[in-house]
This record gives sequence, structure tokens and C-alpha cells, in this order.
Amino acid sequence: MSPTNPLPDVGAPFLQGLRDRRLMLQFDRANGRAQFYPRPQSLYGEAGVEWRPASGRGTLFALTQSGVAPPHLQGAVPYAMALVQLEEGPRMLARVNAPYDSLRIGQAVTVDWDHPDTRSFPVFKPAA
Amino acid sequence: MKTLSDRGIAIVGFAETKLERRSGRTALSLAGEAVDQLLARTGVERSRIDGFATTLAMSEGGNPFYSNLLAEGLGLSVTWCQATEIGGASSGGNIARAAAAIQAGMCDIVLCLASDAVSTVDRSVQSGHRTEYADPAGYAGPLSAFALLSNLYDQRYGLPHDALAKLAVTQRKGALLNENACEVLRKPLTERDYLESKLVSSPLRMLDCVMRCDGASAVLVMSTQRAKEMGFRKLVHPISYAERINFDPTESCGDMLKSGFTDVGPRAFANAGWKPSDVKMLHWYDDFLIALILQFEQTGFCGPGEGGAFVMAHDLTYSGELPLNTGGGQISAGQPGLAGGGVNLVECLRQMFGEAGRRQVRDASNAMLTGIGVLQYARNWGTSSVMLLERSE
Repeated sequence: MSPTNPLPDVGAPFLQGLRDRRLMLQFDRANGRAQFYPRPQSLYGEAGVEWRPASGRGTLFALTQSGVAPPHLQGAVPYAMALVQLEEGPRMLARVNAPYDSLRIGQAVTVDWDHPDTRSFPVFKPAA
Repeated sequence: MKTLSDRGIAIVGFAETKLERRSGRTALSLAGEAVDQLLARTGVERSRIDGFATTLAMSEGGNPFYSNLLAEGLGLSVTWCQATEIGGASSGGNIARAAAAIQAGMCDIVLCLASDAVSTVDRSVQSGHRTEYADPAGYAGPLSAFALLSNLYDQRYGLPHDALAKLAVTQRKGALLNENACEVLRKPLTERDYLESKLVSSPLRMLDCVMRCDGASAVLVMSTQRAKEMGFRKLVHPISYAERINFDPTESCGDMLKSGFTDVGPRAFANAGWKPSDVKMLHWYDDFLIALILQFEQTGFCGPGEGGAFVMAHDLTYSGELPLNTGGGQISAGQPGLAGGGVNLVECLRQMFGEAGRRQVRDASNAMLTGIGVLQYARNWGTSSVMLLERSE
């Protein structure tokens, strides 16, 4: 981590994990419940959190074909964007690297580690 | 709030600028126009105002002295001052905060202001999960969140396309008669126009969404005793208020359709001893039409999944049995950024003061005002508020 390009403090292990091709999540130290996005405390108790790698697997919980985009993705519209229900519990907002019409709710997806954008935020793909 | 039901707090006047797309003005300039109009309409001298509450303005970005800047620019020297940053719930929230400040003896006469020139310049930055985890994922602002919420509603109940179209047309009828509505929106609209409008983020259509504009509104709040001493005859009393910020934080894996309205609706009604059927008109926060369907279901007008049927079964126009957003709401009048809640609030007061002209409703003796603020990460909206208001007879 370059000192001139500091990672956000609470979420640093998540971003470092993406560079190591691992999906890191926070888990409650007492009851093991996972949460995303990273927070300074557990949502589920006062025992604190620990970081552990997650499976990178989930299912499509909600889905849209987005015709609008933040500036860095203006060239990518339209794209499929979903709330992915992660196997460990929390939901993650992410793009899905597949034609929108080929996707259905409940479908199994996995982090697409070969997608170049996954280094800065996970892009998912249909599970094999 | 426990201190409103005795009608001890009064709203004595309101003012609003015309809503305009890319006015080229600043929030202060728009605020100045609204305040001049308010003082002229109420006859209250500027120097009598000793309390000031404002919403934030996206056009002013992160100015850390925003409320002070406005007070100085507007020539106000006050003993109580605050900017309220609960998004679209801030306009109604400021009435409640003003009431609390007056009852606590911190001030006597409060100016509640909402002004934003966001369509001229947007200097806002939403630090935190929005920039760290939502934008990198492809999030394009509130319409991404409402598209996913709409998809979820569609999965569970089926989206009520006919009812959404009816809501769009109903509110547009009010905007046609509202001279303060954005000109570009003052064109007749049919259900077919709605249904054929472009999908911006499926299943969300262009005409499901608000259009940003510039504008300001201002409201004067004081104790009912002071209002009577000053000779005001027409008064509107906020009689009940409830708000919830960051609803249901541990249910990130729970029911995403459920919003804070399931909390604030029942609380606000219980405080006033009302039930939904006692409400004469609805001035509900409408950044997206689906938010209105969820409010019907979650404040007790109908059950989950029944919002579409409820809309189809009732005439919600200004001449109907349960008027809704009679000036067009934000959907058909425009959303002046963080001042958007003022559009609903001012139309509510305009009706209650009997000044709505050709769109005046038959019975404006009471009203229900709502606010919605901020979108949470992978959840519903974060802030929900309900205010119930009654007119003095």
C-alpha cells in the first residue's frame, strides 16, 4: 500500500483482498454473522469483528439493466447490476458480467476474478 | 413528538419560488426571493425572526457554515440556528425541530427554509459507502436503488403498472394548474405516455423518476399564542410527528421492501388518535412513484402488495376523494435537490390556507405530510417521516 494512495481505513482488508483475489468480509467474533459494507463495529453484537475470506459465491437477489452509470462506467452501459445475496449472508451491489436477458433471480453467481475491474470492486459472473 | 397535539404550535404562512430547470442562480438568491415573499405575505418584520432552520443545498456542497452563511445573507440575527441533513425529510423535520426549539424557549419566531440550485451546479459529495462501495460497483444514484427495489416488488407482488401510470397522470393534472411547477413538466400526460417512457434502469421508467430543478420555499412557525397575539387568523397546526433514521440496521438480510414508514406511520397516527381513514389529503414525498405505493402499504392505508389496487380504487386527483400531491408533487413539479421536501410541504399548506385556486380540494381541514431521506447500502431508504396537520377553524 503506497502512502500516497492510502486505502480507506475500515475497509482496507477488503480492498487488499481484491488484489489477492480473495473476497474478504467482516464476521462477528461471537456469533459469526457476516456483514458488508465494512463498519467499525459488528451490526450483530458488541464482540467486535474479524476479517475472513468468503467463498465469493452468491445468488441474484435483485436485478436491473442499468442504462445509466457513474462516470467511470459511462462506456459500459447498458449493464446488468444486481444485489448479490452472498453465501455468507450479506448483500453486495455489483455488476454481473453476462447479458442481462440471460440472467434470472436466484441464479448462482461467483466473483469473476479474471475481470479487470474486480481489482477495484467485485464483478460477478454466472457460476459454472 | 409529544408536544404537538395540543395545537400549541402554528404555521402562519408559506412562500415558494417558481421551480426552474438550470436557473443559473444560487441557493441564497432563491432563498432571498422566498423570504421576501414570505415576509410580504405575513407582514412579519425580518427583525422579529429569531430562529432559523434550513435544509442543506447540494449546490452549496460541503460548505461547513451553510446555515450561518444563509442567516448572514438573509439579514437574520437569531438565537437558534440549524441546518437539517435528513435529505428529503428535512423540510417537515425542520417544522418539528422549530416546534421543539420554540417550546424549549430558545427562540420565538422561526423561519424554516429550503433552497437548492442543484440543477445549476451540484457540488455535493457523498463520502462513505456511496463512494467506497456503491459507485465502484456501478451505482448511478437513487434511481439504481429504486430500480432494484422495484425489481424486488415485481418479484414478490408484480409491479402495478396500471396504478403507477395512474399516479403519474393524477399528479400531472395538478402540475398543469400549478404555476410554480417546472414549465417543461406542465404538459398533459396520458397513461400510455407513462407506459411507453424509456426504461432508464429496468424496470424503472423515465416517468417513474423526479427531474432535478432549482427552487426555494419558506415557512414561518411560532407558538399559537404568539400567532394569536400578532393577529394571525388562519393557522395550520402540526399535531403529530414521527421520524426514523437508519431503519432496521441489522436486517441487511431481511425484508428489503420494508421501510421506516412501518414505524413512523403507526406512531404518528397513535399520537394524534387518528387512523388512515381520518386523513383528508396526502402530501407525500415522491422522488419515485413506487415510493408512493410503498407508503400506502406501510402507513396503513392498505396491506402489503395491495398498493396498486388501492390506487386503482380511489380518485387521488385534487377533485377526488383522497387528493394526493395536488400541485404535481415532485414528480410533476420538479425536485429542487435537498429542498425537494418543501414542494410537498408548501402545497400542503397552500391547500390548508385555501389558496390553491383551481386545484383547491373540497376538504383541506387536515393533511398527512411525509418525508423520505437518503438511500442505505443494499437496503431501503434510510429516513422516513410523517407529520399530521390540522387547520384552525
